[in-house]
Amino acid sequence: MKNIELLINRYLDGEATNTEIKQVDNLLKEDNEFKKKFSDYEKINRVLNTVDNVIVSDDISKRVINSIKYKEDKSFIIGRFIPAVMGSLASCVLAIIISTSWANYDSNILTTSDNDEEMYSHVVYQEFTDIDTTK
Amino acid sequence: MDNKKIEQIVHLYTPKLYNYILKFVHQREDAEDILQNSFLAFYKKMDKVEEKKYSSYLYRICHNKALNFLDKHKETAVDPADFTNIVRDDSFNDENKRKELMSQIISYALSQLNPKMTMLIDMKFYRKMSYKDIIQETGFSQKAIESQLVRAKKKLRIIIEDKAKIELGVVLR
Repeated sequence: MKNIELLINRYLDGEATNTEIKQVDNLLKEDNEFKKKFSDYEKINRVLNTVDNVIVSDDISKRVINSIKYKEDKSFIIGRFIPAVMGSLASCVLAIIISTSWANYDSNILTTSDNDEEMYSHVVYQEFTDIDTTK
Repeated sequence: MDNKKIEQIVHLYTPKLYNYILKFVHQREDAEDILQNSFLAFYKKMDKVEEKKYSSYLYRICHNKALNFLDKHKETAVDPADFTNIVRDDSFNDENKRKELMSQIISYALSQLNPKMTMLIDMKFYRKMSYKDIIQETGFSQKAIESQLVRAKKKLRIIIEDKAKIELGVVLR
C-alpha cells in the first residue's frame, strides 16, 4: 500500500492531521500525477456519498425481538415439552407391551395344558393301538 | 439465555444492519426478513462469540445472508450491462431516477467486495464513523482499517468503471 494513497484517503475521509492537509494541498498544486490519483478517489467518495441511510422505525427492532422470542418458545416446546410427552408415550407403550406379553404368557400356559391333555390322550391312544393284540 | 441482553443488541444494531442490508437488497420487506434471520443465526451462536466481536460477526452474517438472497433471486438482479444504457438514456437526467440508479450501481459494486471491506465502507460512509469509533466497535487497528478502505475504494472503482462500464465522471455530473 502506497503511503500517498493512504494520505489521500485520510484527507478525503476527514482524518488527516493539519500537516497532512497542508501536504495534500501543496501536492494538488504541484503534482499532476497526484492530482489524477486524488481525483479518482474523490469520485469514489462522492459516489458512495450519494446514497443516504434511511431512518429505521423502532417497530423493526420489536418485530425482530418477537421473532426471536417466538423461535425460543418454539425451541422450548421442541426441546423440553415434546421429549417429555414422547417419554410418557414411550413408557405407556412399554407398559402395554409388557402387560400384553404377560397376558399372552398366562394364556399360553393354559393353552399348553389343554393341548397336553389332547396330546397325551393321543399318545395313550397311539400306545394302545401299537399293542400287538395278535399275540 | 439473557433475554435483556439480546433485546439490547437488537435495538442497538437494527438501524445499522437494516441500512447495511438495504445497500444490497432494495425491498424493505426483504431486508427485514434478512435482518430477522441474521439475528436468529446470531442468537444461536451468541454464547460462543466474544462480546467485542459482536459487531463484525453480525455484519458478516447479514452480508452472507444478503448475498445468499441475491443469489436466490438472480432473475430480478440488475445486469451491470444495463447501467450503461440507463446512463445514456434521457431519463437519467431525472434526479430521482439518477439516485435510484446510483444506489443500484453501489449495491452491485458492494456485493462484489468481501464482508470486511463492505462493513468498513458502511461504517465510514453511511454511519459517518471516525476511524477512532471504528477501532472501538471492531477492534481492528487503524492501519488495517485504512488499508482495507483504500483497497475497497480501488476495487469499487474497477468494478464500476471496468465491469459496469460506467464513467464516474458521467454519473457524478
